[in-house]
Amino acid sequence: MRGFAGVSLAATLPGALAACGGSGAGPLAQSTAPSVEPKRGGRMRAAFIGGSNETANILKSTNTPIDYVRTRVVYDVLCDIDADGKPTLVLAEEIAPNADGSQWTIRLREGITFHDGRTMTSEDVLHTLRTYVDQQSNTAPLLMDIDLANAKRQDDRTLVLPMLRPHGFLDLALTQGVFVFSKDTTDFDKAIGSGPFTVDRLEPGKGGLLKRNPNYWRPEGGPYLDELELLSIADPEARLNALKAGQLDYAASIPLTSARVERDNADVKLFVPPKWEWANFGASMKRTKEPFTDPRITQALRYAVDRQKMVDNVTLGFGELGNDLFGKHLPYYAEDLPQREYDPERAKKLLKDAGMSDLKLKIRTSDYEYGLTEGAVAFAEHAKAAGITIELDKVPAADFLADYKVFIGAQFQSANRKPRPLPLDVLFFYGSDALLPFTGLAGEKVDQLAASVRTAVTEEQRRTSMGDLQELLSEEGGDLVWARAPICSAGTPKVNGVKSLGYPGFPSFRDAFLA
Amino acid sequence: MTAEVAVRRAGGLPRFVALRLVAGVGVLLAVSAIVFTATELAPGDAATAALGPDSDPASVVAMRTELGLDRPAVVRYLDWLWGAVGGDFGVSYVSHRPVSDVIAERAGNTALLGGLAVVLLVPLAIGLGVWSALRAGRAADRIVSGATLGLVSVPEFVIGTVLVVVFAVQLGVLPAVSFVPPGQQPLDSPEILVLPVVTLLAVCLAHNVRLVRAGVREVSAGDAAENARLNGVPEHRVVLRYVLPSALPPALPIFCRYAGFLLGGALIAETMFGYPGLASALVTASAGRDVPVVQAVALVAAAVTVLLNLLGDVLAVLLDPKRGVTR
Repeated sequence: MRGFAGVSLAATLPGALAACGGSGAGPLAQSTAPSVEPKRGGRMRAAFIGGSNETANILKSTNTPIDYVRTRVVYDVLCDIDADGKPTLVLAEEIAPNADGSQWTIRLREGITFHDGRTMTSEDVLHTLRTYVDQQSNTAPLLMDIDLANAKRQDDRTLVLPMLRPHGFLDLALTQGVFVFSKDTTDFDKAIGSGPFTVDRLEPGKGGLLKRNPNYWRPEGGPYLDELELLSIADPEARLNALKAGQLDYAASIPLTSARVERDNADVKLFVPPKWEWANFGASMKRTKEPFTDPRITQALRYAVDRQKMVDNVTLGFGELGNDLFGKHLPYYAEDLPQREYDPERAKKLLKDAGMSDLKLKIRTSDYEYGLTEGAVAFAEHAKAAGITIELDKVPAADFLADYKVFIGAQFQSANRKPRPLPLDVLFFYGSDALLPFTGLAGEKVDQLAASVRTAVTEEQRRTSMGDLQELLSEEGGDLVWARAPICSAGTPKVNGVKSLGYPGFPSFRDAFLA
Repeated sequence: MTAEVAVRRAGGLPRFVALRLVAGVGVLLAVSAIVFTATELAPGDAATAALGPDSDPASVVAMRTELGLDRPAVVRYLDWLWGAVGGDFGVSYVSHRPVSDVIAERAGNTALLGGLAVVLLVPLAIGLGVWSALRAGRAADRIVSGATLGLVSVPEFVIGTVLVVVFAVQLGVLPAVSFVPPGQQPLDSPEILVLPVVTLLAVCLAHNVRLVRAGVREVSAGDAAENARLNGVPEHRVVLRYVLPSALPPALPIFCRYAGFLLGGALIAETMFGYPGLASALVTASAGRDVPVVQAVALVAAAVTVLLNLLGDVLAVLLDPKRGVTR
């Protein structure tokens, strides 16, 4: 029943969505930098994970991959995230903090037009931000630090945002599904956007047909396609079969196992995202629950996993080693920390020092997506050499994420985290006011480090604070990242110009074309 | 207890049907209570399922209040039941559409799938069964028997997968996925129905062919048919006059029960082929903890099953050859 993964999932903050991936040797297309000249025209048919919570509502656009894909081309964001994991400006020509991050200024580009022909102003942006927060939309948590009550429109293109507490990277937060819509919007299901495509037909649960916006305001790049048809197909095998049977041009999020099968198929082009977007396979240990309160135990477990075997067997040779930290290949990642090796003897010694030589654990896992159960089974095998017994507590896919409290509160659990820009990830996961305290890591030291990350404005401050925090995580954190692997998609050889821009499971089709 | 005895105890067919309908309502009530309890016991609720792992706990609380999930379970159940009696199944927790709309759209699609399967099932099962029985022991019979035995023991999803690989991926003659593009109906592109129907049919057909074959062989080897043959009646008349009238009636009620069994098959076929029917609605709704939709689909499925079983019983009584004597 793995095919139903994602059906029940609504990721509030993108990047946590269901998808499985894979890639490797063989003829692979990097989903960046098309090698062919863009060609105008045609209809591209693309299928994505949908779900019962598909909706046309702009405020819930991050519910499911298919909604997200549509929203990404019907609307625009102030800034996007590029293939290197750096912010790249879209609607804004400037997003800048003052010296201490207590105030941000957003300046819009000139001549942005909505689908109804009206020019976008700073009023629309402010209205959008306020609506997201007032309506408790999925992205509201990202905007909580903005003092919206006291936001000021300096002129038609400039917005000044005072912060409730100093904040160093609002630009990165704005890449996470904050789509700008017109202040004239009366129905959130039909919000007026400014994007490269317009909605022609939409039926949540089935899909939709988008048409090229001939008046798109951006001078460079797409849209190239006349029509983009989006279809909701929950089962990854079904998506791939439809592609191979000629019913589709693009099938998003295919499992590693399928990627391995199709690798040498000349009729199927695999799309592999940039390395920073690869998913982090591993597990999460709750530092606030016994026995993980003792950092010697968490460190022992980190030495008890054979990472190379994980890459070979669980990621089917497509992945790369993980080092227990998120954000590999992103700016501010602690490259200098040594790669942790498989060292069961050292794990044994650490356990002995902690008085836990006979450690027995139960890991919560599921077939929710490829790699969770497979990784847990392999880990249990590797850990035997260190005298650790790991039992599997396997829950049905539909239950794995169903209960927020259980999912967030689990003592020991399989994880497959999709990356976000590093400072965001850090603030979501660590510290007393973390939104997603999977490892429960908090306390004075951590909170202080997290605060200095939050308020880091200059490059130097960001590098230093991120470095300090990651050093602590490497010693005392509760994350296990044993391998990283791509979330692959497949298409016909004609498909070009699909860019993941941060989200391989729901990429941007703005520059997509058929050639 | 045979249907015939039950009918006599009830005091005639109309009363028997009425009693069975009352019992059916009781069954539906029990089903609704069981389904509601099951969704209550499952971890998470519509709020946590819809908001997902990254949601802010505050918005989970807000959504619970909005959906009325903070009220006691008994109150919610009775509230729902009261609405359902009046034909109002409430509003989907997830899509906020009226459940009756969802059901109406999806039930039509599933009925189309199941209806096609049943329409093909009856003549094919009878035809193949009789043909095979009358050639007992010959090559044709061996092939049919072997094939049906094989199919009976293969799960639907394996059959479906093989069909997709052969007809969609290798030959490219049929679609691999039966999606219905926005703004269209399944009948706008009937080719999408072929593989799901064949998948649905395969196992059912195999069961029923074996059933018919066994019945026909028994009667054909019986005294009446043998006597007729000895008296020089041509074989085709023996089959039409003596064999079929005795062999087929027992099979019909079982066909009816199989039509209910098709619902289970539809679940596999619809999810495999991404066909927007009732079964796939049930899967997504239960994953999303969308209790009103799960309840309504379960009730519809239970009601159909109850009615088909009743139909089977009534047919069994009406077709019982001894009926003329007893009444």
